[in-house]
Parts: sequence; C-alpha cells; structure tokens
Amino acid sequence: MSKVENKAVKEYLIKFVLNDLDNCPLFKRVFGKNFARENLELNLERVYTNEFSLIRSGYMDGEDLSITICTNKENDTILSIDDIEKRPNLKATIMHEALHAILSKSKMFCRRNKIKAGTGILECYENGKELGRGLNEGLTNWITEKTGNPIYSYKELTRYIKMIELARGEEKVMKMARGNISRNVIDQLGMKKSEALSFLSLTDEIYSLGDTIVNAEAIIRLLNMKDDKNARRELDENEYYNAIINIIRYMQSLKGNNSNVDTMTQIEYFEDTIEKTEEELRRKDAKLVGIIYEKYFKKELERLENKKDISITDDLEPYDYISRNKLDFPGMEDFKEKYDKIDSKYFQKILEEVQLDYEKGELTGIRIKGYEVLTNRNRYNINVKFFNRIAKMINPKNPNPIQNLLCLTYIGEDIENINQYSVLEIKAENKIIYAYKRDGQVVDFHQFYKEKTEPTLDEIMYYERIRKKAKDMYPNANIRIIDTLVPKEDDDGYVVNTQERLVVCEEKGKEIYYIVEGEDLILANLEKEETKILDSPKRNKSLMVTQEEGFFSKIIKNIRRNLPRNTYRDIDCEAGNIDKHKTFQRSISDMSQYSQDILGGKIDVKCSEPVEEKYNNRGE
Amino acid sequence: MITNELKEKIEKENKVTFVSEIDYDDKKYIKTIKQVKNGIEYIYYELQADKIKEVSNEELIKYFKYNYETRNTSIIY
Repeated sequence: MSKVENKAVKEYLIKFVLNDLDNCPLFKRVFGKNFARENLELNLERVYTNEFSLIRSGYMDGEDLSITICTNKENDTILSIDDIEKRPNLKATIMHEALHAILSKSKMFCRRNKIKAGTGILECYENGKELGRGLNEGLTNWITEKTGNPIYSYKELTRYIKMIELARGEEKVMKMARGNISRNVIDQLGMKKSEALSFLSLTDEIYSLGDTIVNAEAIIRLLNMKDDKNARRELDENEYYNAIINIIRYMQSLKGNNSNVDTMTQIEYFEDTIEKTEEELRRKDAKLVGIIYEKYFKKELERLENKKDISITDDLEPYDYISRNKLDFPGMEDFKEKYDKIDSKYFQKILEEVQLDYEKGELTGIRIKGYEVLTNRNRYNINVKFFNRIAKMINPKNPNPIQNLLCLTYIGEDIENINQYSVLEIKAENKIIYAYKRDGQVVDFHQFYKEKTEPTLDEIMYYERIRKKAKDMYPNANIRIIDTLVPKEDDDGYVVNTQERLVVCEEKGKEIYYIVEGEDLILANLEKEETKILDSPKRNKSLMVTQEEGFFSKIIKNIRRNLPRNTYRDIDCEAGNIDKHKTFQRSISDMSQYSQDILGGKIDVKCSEPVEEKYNNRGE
Repeated sequence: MITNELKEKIEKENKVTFVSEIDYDDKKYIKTIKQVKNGIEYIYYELQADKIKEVSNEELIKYFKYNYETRNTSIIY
C-alpha cells in the first residue's frame, strides 16, 4: 500500500504537539510562546500515513513540507487517532517529526547563512555535504523526552545530548537549535571551532554507521527474495546496494579476481558488514563518550577526589549517570576508581546529615526522600543500604520493620507522609499498615493497596520490554513480573532487605522464574519439590531458587531460607515490632502482592503493544 | 593507533581537522574535515608506515562516503 494523505492525523498532530510543547516550560522559555505554532503553520502542509517500511517509523520532508508516519505492516488499516492514542511509540514518532518541522530554518535564514536547509544544529550545504545530522537526531529526541514522550531510537545520539545537558545545562542544550553551527552551536557546546567540527562530524559518523547496519539488513532481506520481481526491482534501485557492489567488483578486479559477485557472496559480504560495523559503532561510541568525559567531567572529578570535605551540595549527577549507564570509554577504569571513592565519601556525608536531623528530631520522610534523591537512585534501584542505615539509626535492635516501611512508602511514593516518630513501631494488618508512636498512639495510616500509584510511561515501557523478552522465550506463557524484598547479608554482616525483581513465566501449570538484572533475564531454578510447592500453596514452602550465574549465590541462600512460595493470600500478619522468621516471611508476601498489584495488572491494561528497540526502528 | 603527535602533524600540514580512524581492507585511513567557502569537505588519508597520502581513488572515496558521511537530503528521519 502506498502512503495516503491523512487530514485527521494532521489535525491531531497539531493539537497534540502544540499542547505538549505548551506544557514544556524550557521549550517556551527558549523559543517563546508562539514559535511552535508559527513554524508548524509555515513548515507543515501535509501529513501522510501508511507508508510501508521495515526500517523507518517516520520522516519529515523539507522539500514538500510533509510528515510521513510509516507502518511495518503491509496493507495496514488507515492510521486512526485511536491507534495513536493506544501506542506511545506512535505519539513519540509524531512529536519527533513535528519537532523537525518546527525547528526547520526559514528560507531567509538559509540564504543569510549560505545553506540549503537546516535546523540550527543540522546544516545542509550547497556543495552537497552536510554537518550535524547525528546530533540533530539526538537533540530532537531529547526535546521529545522533555515534552514527556518516551523515545525508542537513536539511543547513543540522545545519550551524547544528555551528557552535554549534565555538563552545560538544559537551557544551553535547547538553545543549540536556535541559531547556526559556526556561532551558536559552538558557543553552546563551549568548544573551539575545530573541536566542535570534529565532534559533530564524529556524531554524524555514528548516525551513518547505524544507517549502514539498517541498509545492510534490508539488502540481505531482498537478496534472500531474489526470485521475487519486486525485490529485484527494489535492489536495482537501491543506491547503497549499487554503490557497494561496484566497490566490491572494483576491489575484486584490483586483486585480479573475477569481478562477478554471486548472490551468496553478496549475502556473506553484507552479513560481514553488519558484524564489523556493529563493532566499529561500539568502538566509536566509546570514543565519543570518552571525548565528552575528557572535555566536561574529568577535571571536576579529579577536583572532587582531592577535595578534603565533600559536601552534599557537590554535584555528582554526571558521574552517577556515567556509572549507572555502565558507559564504556577509554579511561573508564580510572573513572570508576575515582568515582567509587567519591561516591563512598558522599554516602557517608549524607548519613552524617541524616544523623544530625535525627538527633534534632527533624528526620522526616521528605528529608529522607531528599537525601535519597541526592544519592541519585531511582525507584527501581532503591538504595536499600541507605534505608537500612537509617533504620539502624532509629532502632538498632530491630531495624528490619522500619526498613520495610521506608521501602514500601518509597515505592508507594508515600514517604513524605512519615516522620521519625511514626516509624518507631509498625504493624501491618489486613493490607493496612499502621504506624505507632512509642506511647501507642496511631500517628500514620497507610492504605497502600488502595492508593496505588500510576506507573510512568518510562516504567511501563521498561516492564513491557522485560515482558516481551520473557514472551519471546515462552510465547504461550502467562507472564508476571513481581517485585519482592529478599533478605541478604550486607558487608557488615547485617541482614538487609534487598529488592529483587522476578519474572514468572507460567505455562501449562509450570512456573519458570527469572531474576531481572537491568534488562537481562537470568534464569533462576526451582530446585526440588517443584510440583508439590505449586500444588499446595498453603504449605507455605520456601521458594527454592538457584542462580545460574555465581554473582547471586549468596543472596540465593537467603532466598531459599526466607522467601515464601505463596504470594497471593490475604495478609494477616504483624510485620512491625516482632522480629520472627514467619512474620517476616509474611511481610515479604504482603510486599509481593502489593508490587504485583501496581506493576502487573495496570501494565497489562495500559500497554497493548510491545515496542521494538533496535537499530531498524530509526527515523522516529 | 594514531598518536596525538601524528594527528597534530596531519592537521598542521594539511589545514584540516582530524575526525576518526578507519580500518578498511587491512589498511589504515584517516578521516578529516575542512571548512570551505560553501560548506565543509571531508578528506581521507591513507596511513603508510611513517607517511600519509591523500586518498584519490574515486571508488574508495565513494565507499567512505556511503559508510562514514551522512547524505545531504531534504528528508530528516
């Protein structure tokens, strides 16, 4: 099916994009109130949908002033507003392409700057060359995220922009789309001219190498369909394919070989190209991250390392970002060593602040959350060590219930409602957690199960990716994701509750468990009496789990001892002031049910469609 | 791996800016960028032991262009 003009989607696009940009204070501050509306009117005449493409989700054409939204299904039904509303990835594509249109430079600007076209950070020159396409995609994605929409492509390119934001501030990044390269972009980047040219050019190379992979994959698909007339025609018209085949022939003839290249050899060549390009992409990505690190962060990290007294106002966010994303770059080992040292000093400093607050009787949930934010852990990587230390500070003899409450309230985004008195003694009864002062008076009342929080879009998509991974392995299984607390010994020998995420694949009455590590699923085995455990939940057997990788072996011993099998029954336990094994098990069970409620059911309803996250989903 | 000294030498002697190293067909190449009157130009050099030589082979330049440069097109993805 060829693309069709879709006036309804155009109308929707304008409303949706203007509304989201209107709710983005940063965009309005940098570009002014009417900028988006005026530029959309100037630069967007038509919106097309239903163009079939396996490699693009959309594009903006500056020549005929149109936006095209692609589909990966041949003969798909005409795209409707309902479809868009149901699929966050379509909304993201629409926002991304609309931003290209909004940021496209006027004819007058192009004349004045001697360019054919551009977006401020991308310049297409009269001599057939261009600069900034790579960073332009990263910046467009970054703005898309700032409007509250998720992103699915150009991950590396967006990451460079994120790192520049951490170094230069969000306003400077947004301003990169406001002028030309030779003055404005260089200025916002804080680089010398030659430095900026080299940097932009290298990000273009990253973009181009990604394109090479996408093109090679498409060509292999077509070569495998060589008997199909349409495929043959598509190949003959493919500019990249023809150029590469000519080069192969030329190289063959230079070596004195026969310059005819048969289909199998071609397929092998393009497969080899993909492998080598992926490796080259990894290398050049590491190089670019290294350039950004050296330019913006290295000196400051060294200053922090040598600083006598680290303060909680010192900004560790860029380094947390590098560490959290496990970025690989030359000098990474040195970074890691320095960062770990600083992070540990910083953590101690925060604990000192907590202690001071506690001694003054001012330790509130809001403060704890503030400190927790400073340690920069997100809600799925709860700093249990931090909560454990606070709990030990408050009640050294029995810290576990306090730690439980801190974790629960943190997950439930309810931590602001507690204070240091309310966590002295805690009881959980029939899905309600009561907190008591020492004199027995109820000071806080948490109905976690009724006040479920809406997961954010990022969280939904994260869980959807995990779910899809599990579904790829077990297409017919019922997939559940459970967050649970399991006890683990910390470095000081204390038992600390650690949050673990389990994926349960249930098929034909059999359950297979995986532990989630980032976005990887690591098999956990049910060791014995598997069927009996499943058939008899009332027996309350421990879940026998072993890890295939050694890293978790210590944790697993504790899981075996403590994690309850049955996570579905009603809660009728006291989880607070009694530190008994069975009670503790029940409180974990309580937690599992809660997590499943907020993370299982809602996600199923909200996310109807899995999202592909591959290079071939470019042009978002 | 190309040293900083060599990088600086290439930049100084040819009035270009170093961008990246490219390995192709068991040879080492260097991609550089240069600002010209009507835009930018990419110039590729082959690294031969202790000297460098500008790449003039059209087919090879085309190969580099397809793999290491973005297309100048009115379409933005």
